[in-house]
Amino acid sequence: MISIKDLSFNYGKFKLFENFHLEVPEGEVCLITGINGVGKSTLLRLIAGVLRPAEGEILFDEKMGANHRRKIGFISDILSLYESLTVAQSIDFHKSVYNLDKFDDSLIRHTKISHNQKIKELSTGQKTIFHLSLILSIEPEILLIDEIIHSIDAYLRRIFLEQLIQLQADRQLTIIMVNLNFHDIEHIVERVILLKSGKIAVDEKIDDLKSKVKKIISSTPPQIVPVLSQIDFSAHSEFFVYPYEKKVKDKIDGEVVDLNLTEIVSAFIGGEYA
Amino acid sequence: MLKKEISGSLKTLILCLLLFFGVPLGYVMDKFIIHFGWKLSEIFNFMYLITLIAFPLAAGLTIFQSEKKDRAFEYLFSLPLSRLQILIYKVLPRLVILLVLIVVSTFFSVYQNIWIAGFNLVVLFLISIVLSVSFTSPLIGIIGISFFFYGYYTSSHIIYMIFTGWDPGKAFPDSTLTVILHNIFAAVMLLTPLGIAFWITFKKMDVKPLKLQMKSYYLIVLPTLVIFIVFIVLFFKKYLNYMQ
Repeated sequence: MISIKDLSFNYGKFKLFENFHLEVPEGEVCLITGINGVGKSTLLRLIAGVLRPAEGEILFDEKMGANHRRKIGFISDILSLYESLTVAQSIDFHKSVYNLDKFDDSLIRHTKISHNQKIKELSTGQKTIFHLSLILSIEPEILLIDEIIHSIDAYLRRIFLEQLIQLQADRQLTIIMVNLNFHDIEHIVERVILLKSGKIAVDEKIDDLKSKVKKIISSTPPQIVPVLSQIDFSAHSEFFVYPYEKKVKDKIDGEVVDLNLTEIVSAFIGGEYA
Repeated sequence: MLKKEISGSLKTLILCLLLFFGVPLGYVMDKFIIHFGWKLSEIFNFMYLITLIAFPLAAGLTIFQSEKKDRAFEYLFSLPLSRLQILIYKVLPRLVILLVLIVVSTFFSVYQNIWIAGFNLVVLFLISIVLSVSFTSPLIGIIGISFFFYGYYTSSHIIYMIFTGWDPGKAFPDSTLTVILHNIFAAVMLLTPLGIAFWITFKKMDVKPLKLQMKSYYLIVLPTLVIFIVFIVLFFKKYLNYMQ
């Protein structure tokens, strides 16, 4: 379990989080979303330990031991690696730091990465796959993945996500993801967290969220449910509403449409920009 | 980690050893252009001396170069290594190479007293490390380190003079131990605050922009610099008189 308590963090004078709380139970797959600059990547970095909170603490399950970072796999949006090393040297380096006897290169084998290539010579997608291989090799208990997965091609993304699902099923992996391709991960995400102004604005199980966020196609705004955002067309408008309840359906003038995860997140983010 | 740092240190050493290309160059220049009558061994010893100064300076100043250049601080700090472990892995191979260079220099007449010179080179290395976090430009780094090293060197002489009560008869120390003791005194005086500033900064360092993390560093380093300058200025005139 990850337990974030009273966390405050600032970049210079800019306060990003103040008294922030979040609990992520073991084995949960959680998606963090929000508009650009709201602190999604910063939150991942704080959990990974590469940023330090100004106040508060981030606690991990006791079974992870004193050196919990040994069991955290983190891939950031900037793909931080030693670029001047070759793939083989990077694997050696990683193995020595984590005391690994073997390295599972099954993910890399799907790519055209040569062990003699320098990291700086790899494409962004290849680097991402390589970095994912590194972090999966440590058999993490917590996986923190920033939105960089977009850079992998569809084939490799599918292979990676299949591996991820398998790992999650086998080892009760806790996964926190930021703004991944929602369509790809919709079937593995269990919880969605929307950040707004350094706070959690929405924190719902994905099934609850799907039942609570709807699109209403109508010429007039619905009066009975709050509108998150809207798109206007010449003859009608689309109103994205939250929280929607089934019992109000008869009182709504218009068609109520279910949304997928991409549309739900867009509705919330659209509301932020409105 | 150690393997990577050894490789990085050796690369720095190889770059410094490129200075030895100056040996045949100097010899040819002397033979055909300037006619100072330099011997090949003299030029070699001079180049070794330059290398001995260049290596600790470069090795200290570039200790975090791969992280800065590759933006790899995030990767480094995500690894399950304590800051002390990171520092040991980084310092150890560079220090060992420096000590080997110092030992090898005893085979040539580079320095009159290898103990004093060796100690000063280690101090130069340590000054370069503790100042490495604050410089982004190598040139400013070299100027800054040279300034601090000159301060250390001068203050060790002044400390000696103060201990001898400015006795003209003892203007020059008579034993290696005396010099080293005063050098240690000056090094401790300079490196303690700088080392504390470096350690506090490095221990808390994360991937935020470096300039946002340097407050405590400058709060210690700048007053140290002022105190050091005041100390040298107060005694420098008297020191120069004695040296004359």
